[in-house]
Amino acid sequence: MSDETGNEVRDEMPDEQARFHRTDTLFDAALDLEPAERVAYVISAAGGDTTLCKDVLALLRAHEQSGAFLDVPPRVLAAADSLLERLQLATGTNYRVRRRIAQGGMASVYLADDIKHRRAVAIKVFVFDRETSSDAERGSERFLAEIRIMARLQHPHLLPLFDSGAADNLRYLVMPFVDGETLRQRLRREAPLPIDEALRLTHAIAGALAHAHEAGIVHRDLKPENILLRNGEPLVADFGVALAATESTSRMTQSGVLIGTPQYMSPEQALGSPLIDERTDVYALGVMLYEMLTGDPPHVASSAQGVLAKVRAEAPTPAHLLRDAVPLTVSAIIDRALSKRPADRFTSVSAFDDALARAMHDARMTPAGGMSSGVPAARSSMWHRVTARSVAAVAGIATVVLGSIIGVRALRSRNEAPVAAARFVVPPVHDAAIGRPPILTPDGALLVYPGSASAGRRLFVRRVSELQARVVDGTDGALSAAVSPNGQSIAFISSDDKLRRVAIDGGHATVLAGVFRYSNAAWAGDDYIVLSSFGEQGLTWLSATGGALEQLTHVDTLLRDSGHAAPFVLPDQRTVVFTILRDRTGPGPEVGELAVVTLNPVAGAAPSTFTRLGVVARVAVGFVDGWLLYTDADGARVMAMRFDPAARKLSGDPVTVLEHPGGGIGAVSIASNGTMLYSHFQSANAPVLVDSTGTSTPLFPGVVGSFMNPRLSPDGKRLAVQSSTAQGNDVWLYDMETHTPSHVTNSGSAVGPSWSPDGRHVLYLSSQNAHDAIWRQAVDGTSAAQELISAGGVFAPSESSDGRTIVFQRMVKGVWSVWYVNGGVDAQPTQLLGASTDVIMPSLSPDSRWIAYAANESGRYEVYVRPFPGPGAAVQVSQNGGTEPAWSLDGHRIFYRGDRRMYSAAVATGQSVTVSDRRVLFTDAFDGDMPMPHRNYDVTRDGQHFVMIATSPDAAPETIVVLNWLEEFRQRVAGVLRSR
Amino acid sequence: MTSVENVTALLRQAATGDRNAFDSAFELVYAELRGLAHAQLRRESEGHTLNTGALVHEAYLKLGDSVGGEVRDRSHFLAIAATAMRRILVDHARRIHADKRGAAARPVSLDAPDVLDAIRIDQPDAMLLDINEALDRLSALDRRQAQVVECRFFGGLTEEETADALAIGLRTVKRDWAKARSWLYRELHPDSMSDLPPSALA
Repeated sequence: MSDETGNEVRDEMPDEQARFHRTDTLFDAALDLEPAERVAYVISAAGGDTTLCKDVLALLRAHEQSGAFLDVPPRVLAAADSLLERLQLATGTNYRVRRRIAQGGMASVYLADDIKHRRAVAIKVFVFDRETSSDAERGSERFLAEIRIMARLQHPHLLPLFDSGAADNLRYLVMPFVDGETLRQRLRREAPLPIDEALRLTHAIAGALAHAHEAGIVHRDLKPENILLRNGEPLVADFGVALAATESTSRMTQSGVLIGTPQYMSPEQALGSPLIDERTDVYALGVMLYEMLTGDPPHVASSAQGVLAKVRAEAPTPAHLLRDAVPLTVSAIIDRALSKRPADRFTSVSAFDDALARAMHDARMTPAGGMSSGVPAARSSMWHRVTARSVAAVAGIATVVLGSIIGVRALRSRNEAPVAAARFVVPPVHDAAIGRPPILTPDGALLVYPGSASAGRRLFVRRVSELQARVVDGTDGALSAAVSPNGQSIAFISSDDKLRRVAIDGGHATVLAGVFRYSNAAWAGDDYIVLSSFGEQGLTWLSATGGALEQLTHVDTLLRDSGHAAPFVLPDQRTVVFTILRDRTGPGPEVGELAVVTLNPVAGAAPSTFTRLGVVARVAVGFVDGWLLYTDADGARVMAMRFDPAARKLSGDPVTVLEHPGGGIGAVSIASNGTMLYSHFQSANAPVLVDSTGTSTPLFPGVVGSFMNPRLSPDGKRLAVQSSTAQGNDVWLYDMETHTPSHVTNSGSAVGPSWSPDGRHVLYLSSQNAHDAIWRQAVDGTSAAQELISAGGVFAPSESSDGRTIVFQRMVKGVWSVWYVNGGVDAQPTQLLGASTDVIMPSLSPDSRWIAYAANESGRYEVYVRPFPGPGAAVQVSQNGGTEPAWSLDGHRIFYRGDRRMYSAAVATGQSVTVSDRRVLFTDAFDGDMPMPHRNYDVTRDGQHFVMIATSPDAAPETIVVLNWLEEFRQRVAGVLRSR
Repeated sequence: MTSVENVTALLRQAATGDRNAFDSAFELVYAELRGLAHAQLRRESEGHTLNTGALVHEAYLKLGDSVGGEVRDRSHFLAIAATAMRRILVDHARRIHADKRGAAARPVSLDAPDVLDAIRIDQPDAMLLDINEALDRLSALDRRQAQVVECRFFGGLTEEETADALAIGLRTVKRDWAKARSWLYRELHPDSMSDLPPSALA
């Protein structure tokens, strides 16, 4: 029995409980009042009930005395504290380290005896075990240099530094041991603070900051945890320490790694800007005052990302709206300190402090009166003595102040040209999650990206600076997009292997051509589109209003080139730079020599000749000021080289213009307003075993990679699976019992495995030796790999039970069809299915008399089954869309996926085939990304379990926006030119 | 294995008040937390400390695959994990306390060393036990206040997580925490409460 608030209903309560309830209710009411008023209130409200009065007063006293009681949860320690021992060794005989007294994210604090000076000290120690020794050495030098400056500072509200040192990958600071609480603990105990008290603390802290700023030191990590209270007086601790201790190399800011506590971070810090000055501390002091006055920091969210997004973009609720006792003038002053742009804030902490002092002075000058706000007891705070009339007067002043601040802001934002590049990670949006890397519109205003599986795999458009995204209607199944130079149209390629065009505001999407789903499209002006495709097809082009695909380049297979990829069209709309691939296939990184070709849009013309540029790269990404920009072979850098399109020549040395430690730079786009965007992608997934209820367990715990097309061996003891690494794609075998992996292929170019029915061979597609072919490899390694079928665009082989027939799919002129080969190696492939529409994923029944496949003749992929090799009619298996058919071992059921569900259907095969008993087995959200047109799961022998590929939740691409990047680029190339 | 697979179902069942489901989910989470603490400490044998909150979150991540990432399920999980963490800490403190008082020697285990032997807790065991007993008394009087303490102190959860875990407002968490802390402080420090000013009793 409970009421709305969850409290026990009062009647029939045991005595003790009734007593607790009365006490608790009065205690609760007392806590609503200012501390000074509580005792008087309790005595009067208890109304002579001495037990009640005594109980509540005891609780109030406990409330005041409790300090940090229970504030720090217990910590579990390994049985020996060897950090203490290391610190003791590092600090030598001057100190005796006693015990750990605090631990933060980056540092631990130990209590120690300063033996020489006979005093207790606190030693803060940072551990750098993960750095290389040269990095650690450099970091230590910087740390000590900064610390030396700080050690010279003396101010009554600064926590002094006694000593510092670095040894054994430790850096430490020796400070006085302050036996008190931090402002954080105080706020936990009592928030909000009385207004006078909040302003007094702010004034004292501002004095300490101003002193440090004069010496040229910015704190950079101000927060209540760093303010110690000794006898009620604040002491600012950890000046510049966080940064000095952690920023061992400049890489940290380059890569956009953020240091600090999100709630107290200034917008410029949240954007990763390297330009930090005293106005950053003005902001943080404003945040602390706001929290002291209202009880919470201005920006609160359930995640650090959420907080940072708000810090960057949202104006906080003014403090006076959250606590009406806060004078409007003070609220307006805090608002100004919290301005997003440093230029709009007070220029110094002293100016901020002066403004607060003036506001307090003015408020004190207003006449006191008898107006009360309904709380009976007299308030100690002066702000409550303000009359209604003076509130109006103060409000008038505030309006003026606010007006002038807004005026200044508007003026500044018009006149002030931004100078420094600022970078930030695009914050995720839950219902419009980024599935594949976004691109920028040519003007740099919008992001366009394909959504994740959970967001429905459609295109989304989002302003660079905002969190809201809108769906582009008509783009279901989109996997990649390209925006026309005039910004009006999007060309996109979807999982049904079609290139379409849609207006950027959405609407009807026109099919322009059939193309392989992992093709790349690039606009050449607003009238033409250049495409790369699958295998040896070379680049093609077509009119942006549709029509036939025309050949632009011809792949030189005699030179062992295997394809042309990643076209990039220069602003002249005709020069196309692309990547010549060799011995590569599938979705792995595309690396090759850059080449250039000129688009001459005349239908029916012969392929143009192209010129090799002599540089190995991933893809060309930009052409700025005569520099060609491209991602290097590792994907870790964007490089620039002088490029003369007319002469088709690169010259000079490459210059690094963007780095991302760890690599994985992809999808770079550079907009005319100077904004640059790139994605950092690390795919991560793992094979899982799923039961018929949809519950999944990792198949090989701890194994994470980039897997595709799992296939169980006929005896169920091994799993063949494609694994993509930096070395390319290979087929691996995993022992299901021991989890031991072993190579099947080692060429870096093998994809789409399947087993021969005898379990002794694995079939796969490879484009080594510069042509697409289906190969067969003995899994025991007893014989060399054998090339079975060589033909452009072949894919997804499966072998009949007698080993005599191989069925596969093949892309010809942008359309998938199903083929088979009967007999020996020299036999000719025969087309079985498909003409003008796609037929994919052929799967032979266990007795090889039937074939299941997916076809989209109805405009949607459905699973069909028909006699093999025929003749005979096809019967539709799926009802609401389906792909990826697989047979049960007994041939009585077909499994398939559709509509994000796994289905099973009974098939009775006799003279003809009948389908019945279609069932949904489980909801299927396993592959976050659209797989290749090859079944991306397998069924166990008993038909009860499924091997699926589960995308790791953190595998989404991280997208980084660099505002004003062109400025940074120009400075970089200018600097390099000067230094030469 | 089966139990891990069913953790979501268990959590949902437990949330409806099913005592058996709660017990099963609790056992599962408890075992996971112990295992994690043990594994972590073995890996980081250098005086590494583990925040209880970090352990709870790590357990969530580990079981999270099967929990499925639903916010609601995560909240149930955190609430149960806080209770489990409390039991681990209290069991450990009891054992140390018993050892100190020279209680009957425990049988020597020939299996892998128990996590309770491999760890030490940075708060005095007697105090943890006192807090635990006082919290039981508080729970009898006001269950929600006690749950807030369990989440915040034993589970190491933030105020926001506690609010989610108990399905109550943030303001209520803050207020309950302030009240419960005072109540517990008074229970554990009866001496310092005796010298009330005479005027208060007038």
